[in-house]
Amino acid sequence: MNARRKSYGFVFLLAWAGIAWIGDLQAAGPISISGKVAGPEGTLEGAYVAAHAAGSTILRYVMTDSSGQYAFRGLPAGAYEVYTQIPGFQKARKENVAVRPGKAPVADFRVEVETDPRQRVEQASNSELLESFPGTKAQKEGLFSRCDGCHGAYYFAKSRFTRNDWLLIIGMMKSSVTTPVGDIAPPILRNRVQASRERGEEEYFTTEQKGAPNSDDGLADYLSEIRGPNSPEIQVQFQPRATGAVTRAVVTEYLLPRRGSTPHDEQLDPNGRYVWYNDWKFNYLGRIEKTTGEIKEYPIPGTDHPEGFLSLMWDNQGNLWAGQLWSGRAVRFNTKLEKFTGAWMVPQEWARTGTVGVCRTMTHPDGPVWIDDALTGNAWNINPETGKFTVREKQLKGSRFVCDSKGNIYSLGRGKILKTEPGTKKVTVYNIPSGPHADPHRLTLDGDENVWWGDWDGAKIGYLDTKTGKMMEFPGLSPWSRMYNAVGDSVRKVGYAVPHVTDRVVKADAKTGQVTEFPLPSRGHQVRVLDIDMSTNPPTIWFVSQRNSRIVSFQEYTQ
Amino acid sequence: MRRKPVVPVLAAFTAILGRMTFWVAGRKVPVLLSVLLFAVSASAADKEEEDTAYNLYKVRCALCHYVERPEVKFGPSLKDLFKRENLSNGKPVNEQNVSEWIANGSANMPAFRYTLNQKEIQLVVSYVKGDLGKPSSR
Repeated sequence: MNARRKSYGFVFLLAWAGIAWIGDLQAAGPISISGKVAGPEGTLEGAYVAAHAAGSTILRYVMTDSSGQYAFRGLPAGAYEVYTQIPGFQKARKENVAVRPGKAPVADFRVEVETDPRQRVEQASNSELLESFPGTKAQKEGLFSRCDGCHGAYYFAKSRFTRNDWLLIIGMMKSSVTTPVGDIAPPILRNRVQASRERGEEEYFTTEQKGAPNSDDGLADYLSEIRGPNSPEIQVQFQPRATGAVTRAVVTEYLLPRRGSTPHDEQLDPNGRYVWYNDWKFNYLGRIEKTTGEIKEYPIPGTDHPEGFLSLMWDNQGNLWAGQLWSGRAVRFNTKLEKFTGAWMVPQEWARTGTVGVCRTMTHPDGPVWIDDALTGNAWNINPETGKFTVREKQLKGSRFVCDSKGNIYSLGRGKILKTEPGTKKVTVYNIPSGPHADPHRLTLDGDENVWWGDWDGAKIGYLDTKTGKMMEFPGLSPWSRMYNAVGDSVRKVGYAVPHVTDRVVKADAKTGQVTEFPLPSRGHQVRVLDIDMSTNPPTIWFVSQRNSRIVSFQEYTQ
Repeated sequence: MRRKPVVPVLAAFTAILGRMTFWVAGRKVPVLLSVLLFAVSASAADKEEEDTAYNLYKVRCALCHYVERPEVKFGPSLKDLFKRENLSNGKPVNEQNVSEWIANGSANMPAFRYTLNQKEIQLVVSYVKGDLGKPSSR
């Protein structure tokens, strides 16, 4: 082959690669529906518009650009309801917007300002609510530290009680024995259960200090002042809408059809076709086909104890493992056979076993499946083949660890990340730069087996380069946030988190240190575990919207 | 025995109705279609009401009360409440007395009258009674 042919061949290869890359970016397809959104003072940038086909489980959102224009791409043919979802504005909608091959309808919207304070409360994120509440910073911090770990300020903003009744409610909430969401098994009394810190767990909220704003009386005083029977309505001030590159994102929500669905964890299927989820309150595992939105749910046998799951992890044989909370069991589900194939109950009368972890290779010398009880802090390894439970040290907590391809286990402690080697059990401690009060909550490994975590109290994304030991932390931008977990894009060296109820996607660039926040269209998500799909370009972030019974995906676009 | 002319009567009725029209949103709509549309929209409205009732119960009541289990949580179980004779304050169990209890609370239960309006309290009562919005489970 002569030099000219070689150069032509090289150019062809470059062109093919470029087209393939552009093909990825263009994969969103041609424009399906477009239009402009304008308010009383002109076009609106960063305004979310939703499109939903009747009967579909898929709800898609895009934002308007600097000229107020939005565009949906690649929608299947059908009749869509299209509507605006903009904090501070009333919803405007158009029905029966017909998408057909070769026909891209235009749907323009004129939106009016929302003046009803109660509707504005519904539109506000947790950050916006707490910023808008009257009162001192200390009062708001009291509320945040004692209450926000489980639910956002939405519930206060929507409630009115007398001081005595606020005190009654606070008393009931704090007496819950585990994650205080009213999840109490009848025979369990608080004084039989160790406090979270005693059993090595982090707490979802700080302990009250007598007389302080975060004491029961301090909270009751504050809440009755701002949310008493005659308190004025909250006057919500919204954060500025997104502009520029931050408007270039697509959000897809999958609407779970079963009333009462309360997803806690989701995990992408390695086959790329499905996303799986569990239910915190009911004995179901579910599977969503990403492209069509078809949802299939699998009832899982339980015991006569209250239902629900927490944690969801893959092994390397196509099985999903989940912790069946009050049933006290680790449950295995074969996703290829679509069948429940086993449950292993911990050797304890009452247990709340939400934290199940799996070393994916299933060859860890201590046993491949790990399970904890949140009531007592007891922990075991399980050998599923023999059914043997081995008590293990409480240092390593169930879902608060990940196992890499060599069997090293990375786990979390206050102010540190720990690596425990298999066999020798040599422990390496990585001290988090911000100090001993750092509060890593959950962690994941990226494609290079570096660690990313969410800092709950500190509202940061954390990163550990496991080859060099270098650690970095990236604070979120919105106040009053908590980060449950983080995931990482090993190619671009970028981490993502979706704070609990802040209704933002946080992106941290480990190369530059830059943090960006993208707004989400829905409110009060209650986000737990994240997953990242590296097969798309850019990657897609997946998470639950627990409060809204949805599974959500987020992807930036560059088209 | 003479057969009752049910089928021919129904067929005639359908044919007559099929030719009748209503005006709906500025357009002529056949009666049968109107009836169908009405049934569909009524069904959608029912579902929305059921969802609202369920969500109200979940947010406002489920912390303290079971409705599907007989055990005490913080407060007594509400399972089969409307099959009981009296409330614990001695008053007969009926929609009005249960609504008043929700609105006014008790020594161990907050008063919801500042938080929930009358319609919302009525939806919660309907949910507890079993008329609306149970979780869709097996």
